[in-house]
Amino acid sequence: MNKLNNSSGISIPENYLVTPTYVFFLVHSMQVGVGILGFERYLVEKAGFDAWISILIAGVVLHIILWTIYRLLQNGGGDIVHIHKKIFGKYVGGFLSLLFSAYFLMLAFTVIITFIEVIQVWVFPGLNLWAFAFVLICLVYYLVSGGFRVITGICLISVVIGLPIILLKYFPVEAGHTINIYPVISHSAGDILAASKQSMLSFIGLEFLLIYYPFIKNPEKSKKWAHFAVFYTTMLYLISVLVTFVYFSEEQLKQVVWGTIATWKIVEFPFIERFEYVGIAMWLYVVLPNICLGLWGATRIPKRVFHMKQKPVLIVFCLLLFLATPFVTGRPLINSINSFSGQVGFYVLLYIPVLLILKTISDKVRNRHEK
Amino acid sequence: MKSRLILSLIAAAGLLTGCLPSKSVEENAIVQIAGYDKGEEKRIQGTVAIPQYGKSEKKTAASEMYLTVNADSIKDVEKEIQKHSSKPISTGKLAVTLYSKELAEAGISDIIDVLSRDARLSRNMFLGLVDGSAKKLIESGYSQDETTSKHIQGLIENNTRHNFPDTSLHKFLYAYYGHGMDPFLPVLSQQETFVELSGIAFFKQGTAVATIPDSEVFTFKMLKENFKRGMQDVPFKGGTIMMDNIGSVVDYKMTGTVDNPEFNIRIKVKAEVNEMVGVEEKATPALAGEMEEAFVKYFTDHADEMIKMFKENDVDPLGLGNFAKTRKRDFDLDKWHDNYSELSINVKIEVDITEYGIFS
Repeated sequence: MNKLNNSSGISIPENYLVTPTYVFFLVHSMQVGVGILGFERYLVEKAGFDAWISILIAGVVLHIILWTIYRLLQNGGGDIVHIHKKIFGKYVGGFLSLLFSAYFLMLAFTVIITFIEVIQVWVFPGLNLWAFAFVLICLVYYLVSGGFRVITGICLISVVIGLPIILLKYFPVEAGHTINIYPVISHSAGDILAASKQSMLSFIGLEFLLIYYPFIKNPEKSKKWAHFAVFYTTMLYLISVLVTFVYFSEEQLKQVVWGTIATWKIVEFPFIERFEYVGIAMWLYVVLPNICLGLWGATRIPKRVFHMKQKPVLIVFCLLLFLATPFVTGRPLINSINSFSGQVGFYVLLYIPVLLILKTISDKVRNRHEK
Repeated sequence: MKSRLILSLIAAAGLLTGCLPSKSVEENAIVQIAGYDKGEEKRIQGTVAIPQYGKSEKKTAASEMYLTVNADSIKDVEKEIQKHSSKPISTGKLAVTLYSKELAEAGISDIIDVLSRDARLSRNMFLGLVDGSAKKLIESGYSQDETTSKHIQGLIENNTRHNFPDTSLHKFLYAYYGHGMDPFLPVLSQQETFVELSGIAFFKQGTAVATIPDSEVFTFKMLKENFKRGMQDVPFKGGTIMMDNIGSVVDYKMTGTVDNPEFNIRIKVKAEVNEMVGVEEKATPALAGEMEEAFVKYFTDHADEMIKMFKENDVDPLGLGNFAKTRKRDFDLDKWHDNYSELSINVKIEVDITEYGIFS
């Protein structure tokens, strides 16, 4: 139970480290969450059926950001807290790190409320929010208090469980109309870039590398796996978007709130009439690492900043989530929270290159002083 | 500590299962078919059939209960039916929804909105129009072994594999919301002791504006999609020959400018002829050629006529507007609608009779 308390410094004992391969699962499972269930609609509003190009553009941007993150961390010697402290000093740096903590907590919160909304709309309209939130947060507490390696395990499980759901894409494609995608590029570059920005909102998640980087054994070797993960996520989103584009007509998709779940609706097997129920139930495993890793990141930062134990912070944050979740209901509110946290995530991603530039400058200045 | 936590979680999971209403299948009234007629004073008359899974020993007859209510809206129908039912109504297995032609001609946009919004409804559900009263059609029994809902579901499903074009709630919504295409639905009509698919109704914004009889359905399907079955009888030399389709492929091509587009619809049909009634000649290769010509002429004439009818009613069930949209970058929907009636559409059909059965 007390595994959290051992690693106070940046050097983590070897028995808490994960091998570089697992970075693939950590990055990928954090990127895929509730966003993929309904991001198509927002893209179509911006760039129509050309939005699949936007996904590719966003993918390329993400690779660049990932490169920046590794650049930052390799020379930085540690995590974001350490880097912030080195660049901005103890107080400003600590404050910025705490902002990151709040952002991670908000991500976890967004995932919880959005997933609960999906359950309410699609499966159980009369879901008891308190009960569900209690069970879910107990589970998350249990997993997070197990430490980083347990969370990595959950990420692995989530990727494995999420895999068969890709096979379901066969049904909508079979019923689809491939001419929908033509003509290629009928929207302006501005529209396509706007949709790229929009799709970045569902791609966020790789910034967690900034906090769990010290937990990776041989971090240089993990670079390749992180890039694989981003590439895989991009392809997954591309496939999802193309499938919904083929299945729905453009004006129809603009009115479909959860595009991906709606494509599950036509899946029918002799033993199950409504596959979306199974899909949504399985999706809990896909969103679970988002919540766990989000909460872990959120609690790890205060620990690093204030040199306190992680567990009390975890309990406080869990309570916060539990108390706040049942009060957030209704599409408009949840939608605005989603787009808000997406916006923040977008700026966090933009902040990383800025941080790299600042760090390079401060390193140079420091070197000069030492001379 | 850990084991206590796990124990409490298991206990919570066990206790919390009671938090949601649960009912076994027999305790639900599972609506499998629903029909809507025009009621009095702008109200809707809804009829549903609920199969009865009783404890009775007689397993032979499939029994159903029919409920009819008058209501102001679709959801109100559900509410009113609930009032008549001893068990909770569940609409998740709804397989067929029928609308009377009268209702569809007045417009069913509001109903369509409900259909696209309700998460419980299957997207593979069949929609259909009824020539006459939907209530009467649902309440008449047709088969001893299966319920009316199963019967009508099977009827539509079977026919979409033959002469009738593919249809489902999703396909309807796809064309309804999409730009440059209009939806269509099969028309059912009740005869003395049976029910049959008697044609196709074409919609314009949720209002049924035109229909074709079932003799034209094959031609429509040929224009609309590729398919491998179906039959069509064609008059030939004073008699009739029956064409058995074994593979029909349709291809749209667009030429010309955006303002003045020209469509070429090419259809290639591979067919068998298995029956000649009242034709006095012996089957020879020369006769086969004549038959092919007769088929081509028949289908070209009927397709041209049908397209003329589409233009007159300003409906586009073939989705030509959508097709044009995918071919031209600067597609203008309003302009398209203005020009639609003068659009030049050429249908070119090739029929290839390959076989004549196993007897020569």
